[in-house]
Amino acid sequence: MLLERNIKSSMEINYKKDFPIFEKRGGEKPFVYLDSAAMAHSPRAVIEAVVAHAEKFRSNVHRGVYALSEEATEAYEGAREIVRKFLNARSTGEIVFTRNTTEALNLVASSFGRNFLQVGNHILVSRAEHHSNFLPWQQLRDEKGIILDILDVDENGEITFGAIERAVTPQTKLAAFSFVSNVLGAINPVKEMGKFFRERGIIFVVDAAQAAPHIPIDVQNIGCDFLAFSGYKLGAPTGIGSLYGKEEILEKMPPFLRGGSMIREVTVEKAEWNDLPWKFEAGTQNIEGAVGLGAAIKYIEGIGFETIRNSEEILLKKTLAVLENIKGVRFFGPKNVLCRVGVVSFVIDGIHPHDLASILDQDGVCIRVGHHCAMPLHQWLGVPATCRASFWVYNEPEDVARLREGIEKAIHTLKY
Amino acid sequence: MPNSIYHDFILSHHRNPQNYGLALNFDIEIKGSNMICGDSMYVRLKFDGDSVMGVSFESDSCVVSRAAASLTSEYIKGKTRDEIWAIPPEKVAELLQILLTPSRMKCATLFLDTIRKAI
Ligand SMILES: Cc1ncc(COP(=O)(O)O)c(C=O)c1O
Repeated sequence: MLLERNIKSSMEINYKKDFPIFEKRGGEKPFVYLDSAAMAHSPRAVIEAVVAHAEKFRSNVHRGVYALSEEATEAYEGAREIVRKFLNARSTGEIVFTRNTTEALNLVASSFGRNFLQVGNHILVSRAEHHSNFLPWQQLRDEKGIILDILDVDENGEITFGAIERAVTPQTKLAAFSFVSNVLGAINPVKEMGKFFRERGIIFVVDAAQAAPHIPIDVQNIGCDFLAFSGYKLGAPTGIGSLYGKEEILEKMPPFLRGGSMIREVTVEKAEWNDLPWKFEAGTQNIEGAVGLGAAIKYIEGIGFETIRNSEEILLKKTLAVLENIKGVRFFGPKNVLCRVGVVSFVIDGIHPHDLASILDQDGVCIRVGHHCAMPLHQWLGVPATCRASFWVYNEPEDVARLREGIEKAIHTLKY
Repeated sequence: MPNSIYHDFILSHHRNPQNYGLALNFDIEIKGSNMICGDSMYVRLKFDGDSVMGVSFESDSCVVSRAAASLTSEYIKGKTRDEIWAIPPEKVAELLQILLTPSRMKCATLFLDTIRKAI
């Protein structure tokens, strides 16, 4: 009963008004955005923080001795502390700013993988990975004679422990999994996976790109060695993301990129690297992006993950019910809404995803269609492309109704 | 131009595409794909000297792509390689009688892009 009331109250707060895009893009019908898994919109608080930084604090960081530069440094490092808390890392030395998840995972593959993995070692990934958590490992396989093992998801799109146990070999040295699949929406049991891999001395890399906007992350609780996410999926500006790495591992790794800021001393003969995390932040960084990311995390924390999850559950239940009740529609991923976040991929018999997206777009509804940068998964699902609807804090039950109308209209237009 | 892509003319070409079904008598076969959606298409061409004499295709693709292939395949019959290279993308939109966004334009020109790989 209490839960029911909580859920209700969370839907009653109108977070949509915090997002200027919905006012600025007026149309005949309200604009419905169902593609937050690709890009979340920015709340006013983020936009204002970025503008305020540009107007009052713009300066390079860790360089000037004048007050303005000191203040910019404070803002940048302050954002790092916000990210540290958000992930519950032990120290800010474990939080490296990157451009996005892709860069963070390439950093790990390049700096850790090239130097600490050897011929004959195995890397384990799932078939459901986004290309950015797949291609860096495929590259290591080709360059270093490493064996890449692919773990299949079950018919619900979930990763089971039986499958992990079967796939792990004594030579498995690294496992890279998404926390949440960007196609299936399935939440993987990363805490249990962390324990399992830790007991076997396997480095555990978590791609949290789709988890970060929806569920709380605690790197100590997961016990992972690395974890990556992208800011723009949380409403931050593009071009800022973060890599968490365990301090003792980051300490041993060589820098990823070399240049300004990441050194302590350089002579013609050699160089000595800066402390963590700056060893991994070569060149001038995306300072206003970091400030925006800090503001985005503050905004989310203001709402609270419980509220976010509760609202999402309502939308998910409604969406799955809609999809189940239209003939010829099939959705992928877990049937139980508690096992997934607000990302739902589906196909309609005889209707190409592109055509559905165009028909929805004509009525102001944005969904994503394609392979969602997960081609190996689509090959396994047996479809070249899927339609994907994804939600965030500004979505309302009315949006799901508009999705249903669009699907019905597409079926009516294209099938008969 | 109609404001919806899915007007009757396009839908009729989608349902009953011209030159659909790969011909057994051909000189070259070309495979094309649309990077955005993973759609694929096979086209077979038969030449008479420098001109296209026969054309056939099969595709696993959207309405726009298939209707455009149907119309464009008719349009290129009898044309020389140079004439086919000279066809602007706008011509395909004109054949379809619709306005296309840049991403849907890629669907519409999949047939043309495919055959240009081999001629
Ligand atoms: C699960 C997952 N991993 C990785 C990425 C890559 O993120 P980015 O493009 O920000 O590097 C995405 C982006 O969609 C994703 O959904």
